[in-house]
Amino acid sequence: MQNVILLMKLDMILHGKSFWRMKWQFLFFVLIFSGAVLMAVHQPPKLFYINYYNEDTSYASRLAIDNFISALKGIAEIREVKNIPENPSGDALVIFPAGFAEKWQHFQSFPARIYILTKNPIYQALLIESFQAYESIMMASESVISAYNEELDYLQLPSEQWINANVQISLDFLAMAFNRQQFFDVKNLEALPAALTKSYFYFSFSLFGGLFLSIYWSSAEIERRRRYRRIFLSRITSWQYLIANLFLTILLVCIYVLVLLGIANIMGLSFDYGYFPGLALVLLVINLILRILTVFFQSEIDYSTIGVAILFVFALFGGVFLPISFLPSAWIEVVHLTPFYQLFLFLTKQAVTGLNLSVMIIWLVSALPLVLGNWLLIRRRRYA
Amino acid sequence: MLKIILLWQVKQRIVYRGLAAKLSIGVFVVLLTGLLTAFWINQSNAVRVYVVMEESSPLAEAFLNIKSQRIIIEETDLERGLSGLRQYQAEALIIIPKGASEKILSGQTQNIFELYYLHGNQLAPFLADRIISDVFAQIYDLAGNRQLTELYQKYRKHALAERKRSYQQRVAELEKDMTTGRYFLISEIWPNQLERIPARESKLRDGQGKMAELGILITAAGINFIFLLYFGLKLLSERNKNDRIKLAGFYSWHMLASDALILLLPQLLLFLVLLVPAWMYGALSFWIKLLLIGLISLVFNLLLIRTVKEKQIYFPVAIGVYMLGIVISLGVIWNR
Repeated sequence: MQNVILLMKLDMILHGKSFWRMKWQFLFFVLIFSGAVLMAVHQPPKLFYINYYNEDTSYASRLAIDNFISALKGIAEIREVKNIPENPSGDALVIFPAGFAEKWQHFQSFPARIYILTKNPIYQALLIESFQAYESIMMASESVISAYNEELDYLQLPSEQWINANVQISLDFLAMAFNRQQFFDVKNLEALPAALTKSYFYFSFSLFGGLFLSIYWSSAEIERRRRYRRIFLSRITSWQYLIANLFLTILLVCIYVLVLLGIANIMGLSFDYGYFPGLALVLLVINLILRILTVFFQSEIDYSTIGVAILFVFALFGGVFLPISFLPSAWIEVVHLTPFYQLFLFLTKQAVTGLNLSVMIIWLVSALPLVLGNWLLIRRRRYA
Repeated sequence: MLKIILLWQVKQRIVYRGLAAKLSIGVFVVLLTGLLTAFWINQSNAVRVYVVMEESSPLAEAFLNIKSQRIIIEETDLERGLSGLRQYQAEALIIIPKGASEKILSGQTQNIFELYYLHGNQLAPFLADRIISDVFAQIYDLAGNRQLTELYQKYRKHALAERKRSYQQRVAELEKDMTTGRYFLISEIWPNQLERIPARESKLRDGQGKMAELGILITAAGINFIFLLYFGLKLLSERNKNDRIKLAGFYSWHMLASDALILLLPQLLLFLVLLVPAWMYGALSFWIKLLLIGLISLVFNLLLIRTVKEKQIYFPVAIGVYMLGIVISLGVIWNR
């Protein structure tokens, strides 16, 4: 055990010194990273912010526009502005001209002006298409009600009955349009994080960061081989060497997971804590696999370059930078094949359902032959 | 100048050594980047919504026929749809149950369709609202039919069938005459900005694939960054020879310039190759952005080689900077 502690100390001193030499740069990165986390914490609660300005102050207009706006309230943050701003904020600004509601009631074209202000291209397009869809509702109601009115004329109803029938269909149609969200029976699926929320990016980036850390840590093994070549001339056994490395890996993984736990708390994310031991276990197993792969490389530079390049490709297809629902349909089959995606799904499920004990045992059992494999490789190569 | 070239020649023999093994990866990177550029800029950049059709009717068909540049409507079955939703393959799942049209015909307006999405997804209700708005012509058609039936049953029962035909024809005629811009005039540019935005930029805004461009930019710049780091690391490994080089009469700026040349050469090759797909797919502005990022990465690498003492820390620091760049740019774009 003394030898194991000695080896661990030696490794920690060497790595600690490396980091200490870069303390100011490291501090700088921590500050930038904190900034990014804080930015994520203050992410707006709504997807869109829409401002509107109503030039028409009449009661009828206010009522009609209030109803139109209230239909959007479930999906966007809506605010009324009292003046047309010189430099408007939000994602869109709608300007209703004076007389808009009255003309609309009589199916006369007197368009409201809509300015799409968001610079995010996909949201830009979605907002444009949505307003076009709202316009199509108005046009559909115009054509159906106009044709219906012609039928009322054909029936030659007395004026009172004509008006009653017209009012009934108009009110029905307005109620349907304004309450269109009620057409859906909404069913939320579990508590999995949505693809565009901060928790999704928390999970995807925490896995990406963990895998990157694993590549870095396992690449250090190549350097260690050279450094510890002479160690085996002393009384240190290959098991002691392996256990020291394993303990250090567990320590590193635990520190990483604890940092993530802290970030989750700062960001106000709430999910099952079973995610963290799950992630730690996954990273430990991956570290063991990556350590075995180092035997194919003589230089840590080659190893890191190839490792990170492969990680980037897998991460891209696995939905780190762009959610999978944004990728073309034909790519879904390829996405399924990427280990990153499978790991991501596995871990997000742990975050929802909690850590499954039998799954944990399977991962632990799978770690055992990997530990043995690592030991055999150390023995065989003797690191010389 | 002669000294720089001499030093560059010496260094390139060391740095590019063993390059053949990595060339395969280089080719792969170029292929991948070119492929992604072509694929994404032209096709991607839309969100997927699954639709389960349990009834066959014009209303159900209207869901599938939604024309959108940014929403892919994909018909699927319930099981696959739900599992796809749980696996982040779509933003929402809409079920059009059997008898949906009948329900609307009978005057029901609540809980007609089922809408599934992941908890907390803010985009899904918006997409659902967008989709239901698009099929409203069909809903109004059914509702109008109901009102007309009631009207004729009340006043002139025998004429219903005949009048229904002419009524529907009239609705179709009126719909045909209407064009967009009748009720909303939509603009992407705020009037005050019109003068300030040059024509080229406003044209770019109209182009598709901006979000996809960001994705490919991040990925391509990332892979390029890694290769720059690779050569940078090799240069860093040779630093122990610096003292002897100085003794031979070379100054630090000779070394800096030769290092810059070492890093520049693979960059030039990469960007020349990338120029072909960029030209083919009309993505030159994208190529220029990538080139700029490449040059910034090059300068960053040169600075890092001179700052970093330990080569083990070189890679994590550089990738850390890159990762933070992604997080911040995504954060900024997402929050805008």
